[in-house]
Amino acid sequence: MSIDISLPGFGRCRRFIMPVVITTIIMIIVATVIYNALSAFFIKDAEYKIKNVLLSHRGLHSYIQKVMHPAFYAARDAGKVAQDYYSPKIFSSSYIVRNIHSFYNEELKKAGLPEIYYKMASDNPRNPVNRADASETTLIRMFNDNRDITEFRKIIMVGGSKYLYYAIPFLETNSSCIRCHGKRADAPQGLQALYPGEGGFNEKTGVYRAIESIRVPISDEITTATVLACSISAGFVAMFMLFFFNRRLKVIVDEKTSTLEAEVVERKSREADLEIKNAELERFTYTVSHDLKSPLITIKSYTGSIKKDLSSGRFDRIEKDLERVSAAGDKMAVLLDSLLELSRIGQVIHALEAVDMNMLVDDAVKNVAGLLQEKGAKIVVQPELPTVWCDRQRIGEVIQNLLENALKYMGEQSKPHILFGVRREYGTTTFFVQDNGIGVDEKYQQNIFGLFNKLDAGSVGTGIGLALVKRIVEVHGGTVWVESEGLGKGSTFCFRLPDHNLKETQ
Amino acid sequence: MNGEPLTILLVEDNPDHAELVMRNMEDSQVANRIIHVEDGEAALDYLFGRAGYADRNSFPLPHLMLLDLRLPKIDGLQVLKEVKTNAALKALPVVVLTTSAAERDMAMAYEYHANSYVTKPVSFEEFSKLLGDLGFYWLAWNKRPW
Ligand code: HEC
Repeated sequence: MSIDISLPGFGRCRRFIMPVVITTIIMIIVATVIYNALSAFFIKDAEYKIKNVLLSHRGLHSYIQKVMHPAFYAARDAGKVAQDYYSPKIFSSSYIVRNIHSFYNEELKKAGLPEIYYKMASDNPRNPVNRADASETTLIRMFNDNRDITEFRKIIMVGGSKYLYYAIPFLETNSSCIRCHGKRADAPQGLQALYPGEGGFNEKTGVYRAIESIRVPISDEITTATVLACSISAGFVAMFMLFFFNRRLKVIVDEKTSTLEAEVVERKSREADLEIKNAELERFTYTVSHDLKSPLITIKSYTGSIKKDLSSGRFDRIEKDLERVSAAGDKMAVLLDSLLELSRIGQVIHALEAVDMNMLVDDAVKNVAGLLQEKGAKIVVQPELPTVWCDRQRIGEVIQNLLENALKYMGEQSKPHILFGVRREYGTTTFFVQDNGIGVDEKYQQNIFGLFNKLDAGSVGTGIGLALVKRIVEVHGGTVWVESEGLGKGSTFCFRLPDHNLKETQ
Repeated sequence: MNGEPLTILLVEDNPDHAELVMRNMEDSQVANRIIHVEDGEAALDYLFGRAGYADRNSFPLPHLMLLDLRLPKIDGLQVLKEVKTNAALKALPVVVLTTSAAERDMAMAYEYHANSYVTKPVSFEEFSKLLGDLGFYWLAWNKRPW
C-alpha cells in the first residue's frame, strides 16, 4: 500500500532540486576545467621563464668553455700569463654563472620583481655551496640512469608557498673537463692550491656530474587562476541559471497559455453546440406550436361551421367537414407520437452491436412492404454490404425512414425504383438510398432534415421522419445529407457512420 | 358593389384553412374572386405573371393578398420581401394571416412592410368575423392602389 505524502508546495520544491543539482555539477566541472587550463597555462609560463634563464646560463657556460678558455690558454702558451696561473673567477664557468646569477637577482630585486633561485648541485662538489641535497643526488642519479629524460619538473612547497621546481642535467663530463676534474695531480697548480679537498676531482667522462636547478614562485598565478576560474564559472552558472529559469518560466507560461487556449477553444465549441441546440429547440417549440395549432384551428372552426350549417339546414358539406375535423385530429395524434419518438432519441438506448447491414435492410424492406405494393415500386439492395457497429433498432429505423421517404416522394413516376447500396470513396464508407422520384431542389437540400420541413404541402407525413434520421445518425457520430440534381431528377439520401463503426469483414 | 371586379390572392398551404377562408369570404361577399395558391413559389409566379400566370385577364393583379408565413418551397416572409421591394408591386396591401404568434415572425413581417399582421383565431365565429372585417376594410374602406 502506498501513501501519498505529497505536501502543498512539495512538488514545486522537488521540481527545482534537479536543476540545482545539475547546475552545481556543471559549475564544479567548469571550475575544474578552467582551473586546470589556467594553472597549466601559468605553469607553462613559469617553465618558459625558467628555461629562458637556464638556457642563458648554458650559453654562458659554453662561452666560457669554448671561447674564454682557449683564448686564455693561447695567451698563456704565448707566455703572456704565468704557466700555473689559475683563478675560478676567470676559469670556472660554474663559479662565474653562480656569481652572475646573484647579480641578476639583485637586478630583479631592484626592478621589484621576484628573485629566481638557482643552484648548481653536484654529488661530488669542488665548492661546498654546490653540494647536492638528498633529493638532488637522487635526480643526478636518475638523469644518469635514464638518458632519454632531459628535464625534471615538480610543484613544491617552500615556506608555505608554491614553487615550480625545474632541473636539467649539467653538461656531460668530457675529456676537456678532465684537465681540472680528473686526478688532482693533473690539475693546474693554481687550482690544486685553491681547492685543497678531494671534491670535484676523480670524475669520469660520459657522466653528468651535476644538475642545474631553478625554482620560481607560482602561488600568485595559481591564486589568479583560482579567482579567474571561480568568477568565470560563477558567471557561467549565473547565465545558466538565468537561461534555465527563463526557460522554466517560458514553459510554465506556455503551459498556462495553451491550457487557457484549449479552454477557450472548448468553451467556444461548447457555446457553438449550445447555440445550435438552442436554435433547434427554438425552432422545435415554434414548429410544434404551429403544427399543433393548425389542426386545432381546423377542428374548432369546422365544428363551428358544421353547427351553423346544421342550424341553417345546409347539409351538403357536413360530411366532408366532419372528415376534415377527424383528419385534423388524426394529424395531431401522429404529430404527438412523432414528437415523443423524437425526444426519445436523445441518447442511443441500445448497446452497439455488430450488425449485418444486408439483414437490417431486408427487415426494413419487409416493414415497408405495404407502401411498396401500393406504389408498385421496386427495391434493389446491393449484396455484401459491410457489417457495422451500431444500435440495430435505431439504424433500422433510419433505413426504414429513408425507404418510406423515397416511396412517398415518388411523384408521378411510372416505374418507381429504389436502390440501397454502399459507396466507398476516399477511405470512407457511405450508405445511400437512391430513388427516381421527385428529387430535391438545391435550395432545400439543407433544410430537408429540419423538423417538420416538408417541402410539399400536399404530401403525406408529418415531416418528422428525416429529422429522426438525422438525429439517430448524429447520435451515432455520423453525418447525413441528400444529393439531387434537382426537381424531377430523383434523389440520393446518404448517411455515413464514423469509420471505427465499420467492422472488418475481410 | 360598384361592379369593379375585386380579387384576393390567398397564399395558404393548409387546404382546410384555405377552404375556411374562401367560405367566409364568399359569405361576406366583398370579393368577386379569390385565387388560392399553396406555396410561396406559386404566389410569386402569380404576382410576377410567370409560369402559366402570364395572362392578366385570367390572372389579374390582386387587390389584397392574404399571406400565410410557413409555406413550402418559398417562405412567406421571403414572398413578402420580394413583393415589398418590387416597385410595381409594393403598393399591394399584404395582410399576414398566420397561426404563428411568435414575436420574431411579427417583427420580421413589419420589417418587410407588411400592411397588417393577424393570427388565425381558433373559434369559427371569430374566424368569420375577422375575415369579414378584413375584406370589408381592405377592399371597401381602403383606397386601392389599382
Ligand atoms: C680549468 C679547469 C676546469 C675545467 C677545464 C673544468 N672545470 Fe669544472 N670546475 C672547475 C673549478 C675550479 C670549479 C669550482 C668553482 C667553484 O668554486 O665554484 C669547477 C666546478 C665545476 C662544477 C660545480 C660543482 C663543483 O664541483 O663545485 C661542475 C658541475 C663542473 N665544474 C663541471 C665541469 C665540466 C662538465 C667540465 C667540462 C665540460 C668542467 N667542469 C671543466 C674547474 C674546471
